[in-house]
Amino acid sequence: MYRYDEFDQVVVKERVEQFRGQVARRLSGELTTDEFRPLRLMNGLYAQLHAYMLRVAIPYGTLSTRQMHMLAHIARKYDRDYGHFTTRQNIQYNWPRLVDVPDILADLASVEMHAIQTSGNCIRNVTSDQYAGVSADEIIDSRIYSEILRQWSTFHPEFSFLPRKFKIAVTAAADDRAAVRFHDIGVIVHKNDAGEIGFEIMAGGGMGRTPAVAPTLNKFVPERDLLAYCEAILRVYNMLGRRDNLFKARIKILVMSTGVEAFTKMVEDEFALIKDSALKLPEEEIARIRAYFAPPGYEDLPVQSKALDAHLLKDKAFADWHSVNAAAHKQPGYVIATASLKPTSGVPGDCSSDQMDAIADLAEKFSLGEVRVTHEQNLVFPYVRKDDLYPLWQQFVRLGIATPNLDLISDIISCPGLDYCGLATARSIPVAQQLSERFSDLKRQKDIGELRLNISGCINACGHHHAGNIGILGVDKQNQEFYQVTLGGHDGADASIGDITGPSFPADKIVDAVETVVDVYMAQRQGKERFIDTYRRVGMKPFKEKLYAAH
Amino acid sequence: MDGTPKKAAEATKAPKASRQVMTAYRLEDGHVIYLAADGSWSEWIEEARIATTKEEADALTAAAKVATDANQIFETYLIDVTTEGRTWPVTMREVMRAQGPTIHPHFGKQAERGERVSAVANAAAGKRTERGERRENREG
Repeated sequence: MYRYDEFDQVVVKERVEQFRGQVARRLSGELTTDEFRPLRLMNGLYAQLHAYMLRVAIPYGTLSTRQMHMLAHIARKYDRDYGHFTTRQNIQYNWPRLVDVPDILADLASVEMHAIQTSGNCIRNVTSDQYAGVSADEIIDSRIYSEILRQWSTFHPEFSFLPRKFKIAVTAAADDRAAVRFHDIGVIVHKNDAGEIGFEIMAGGGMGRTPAVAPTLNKFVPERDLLAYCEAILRVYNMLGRRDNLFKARIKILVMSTGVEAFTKMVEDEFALIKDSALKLPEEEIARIRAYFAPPGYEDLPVQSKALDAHLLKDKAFADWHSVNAAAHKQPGYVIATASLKPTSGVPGDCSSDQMDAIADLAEKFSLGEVRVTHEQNLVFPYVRKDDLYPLWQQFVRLGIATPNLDLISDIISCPGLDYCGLATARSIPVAQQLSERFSDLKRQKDIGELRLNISGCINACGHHHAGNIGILGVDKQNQEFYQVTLGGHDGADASIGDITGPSFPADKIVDAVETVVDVYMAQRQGKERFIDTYRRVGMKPFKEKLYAAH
Repeated sequence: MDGTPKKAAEATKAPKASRQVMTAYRLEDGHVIYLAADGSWSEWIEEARIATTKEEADALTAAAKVATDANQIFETYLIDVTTEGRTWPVTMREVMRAQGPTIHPHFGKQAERGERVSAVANAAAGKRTERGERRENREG
């Protein structure tokens, strides 16, 4: 696992002490509200609807048991005994006191964590494939490149005041689990016929009020040029991105307005100028970073596990969970297990201090001391011996994190919505809770099959509703909560943005509306066709007819 | 509030003939507070001083400026309230600020509200349940 180097440790510790001084000066009145605001935002401290909110970065979603225990400790000591894993592989605390935040940051720094670049118009925490390094379908461990990007982007002076925030995602797997095409820059690692590593680089994707699937700028940027190419994109954006209108400031608007071809040419021109500069990645440096992500101490195990096979035959509940929440591992005898933070009636992404501690203990015992956080708001145990999967699952059951719903309709991505967020126009979590209840029957969920249901409480789309097969967007209509429905969003290799069905539904009708959509799908689908494939085949018409039949 | 603003802040609304109270965040812990009738800042909207005229609203704004300048509070603005039964916000967003998140009632103000408020606005307790909790039947 990646460790801080001495440089990181010094920088983060200095940063904590700087912030301690800034908080003291704010409390004494030396700094005004306006002077303090950018300083706290640079340290991940937001002012939210009810209180301050601290957003802590989890680079590539990876947590050691030590770090997970610390997150539990912080929730217990400084907050209200829980944390919320977000839709971008961060954790948020909803109730920290300003006076405690320097101590929280110091506690985080003691386990190599921080809240830097979790806010503000800078390059944010890089989104990663939660199965990086372990999945059977990847070319190489993408965390190597996520880490290179993290080091380059941290405190990058030229990109600290971009027109708007900037998000990068990296994947090296056939199945895109990082939603790369919905990011400002998306990176897909490829290997060419000569066996060389290179990157397909996309730019200008995003959600928000103007959703966009990122077009590809270059299909194969050589490994050594990763930073030069990204820097070229950032430079063009930093120069030409709009600063006069907050709603048109993201890079997607620039790419749309200049056109992909013209934008790509500007990037390529800039790239030609800087590619042989200090940005060129030396072999040794890549090797050094790669060494941080060396495979852990795997045991030599047979591919098959007799213990696992026996339990699968014996225990139906376990077999049901296994068929949904376990994924193929690249190492023989191992398996990837996903713990669900989406129990029926639960709050997607919420985790209590006790759960965090217990999860850390389980990871220590069963997953070589590591847990991964996903942008779908679940937790992955990446290094589980097949022989251990049954006892691990039994502990998941005990902790309430064994809901077998990965990628099913109740595995809902949801932003905090109006329950917490100062920007929200409607609540999203209560809708997620009601939907999880309506579809709680596991057999029914499995019959429905893979279906991404995402909910946002406002147009900023933190709940990724544009990318949901079924998307729900909360809106405020004359002081009442209404919910717009979109169909056909998808965040895989063939990414697409959902289409709006029509007029929005009142809060007490939205769950029925979703059920209607599901019923139409079940009636229309052919064989084992996924929802997205049925929608693409039959289009909006049959859904619309049923949804608005009574209107 | 941080991030992309969704619409003009309520602070910019000219005081109408309606009833208004002054709200803010307490600097030290960031909690939602209201300017109370006795001039202190309360976590409970039921205790807020109500302005019914422009002059009264201006007085609330002036008091908020004093507290802002004294580094006790931040992000002050006036909100519309109803006083039928008890003082309660009009907009969905302000109801949420006044009552706490509906999904974690045990973590929000609701948990403390019960006893604290019953002393202040006992008569309004029935109304409160209707207003505050009818909107969200999951609170139980």
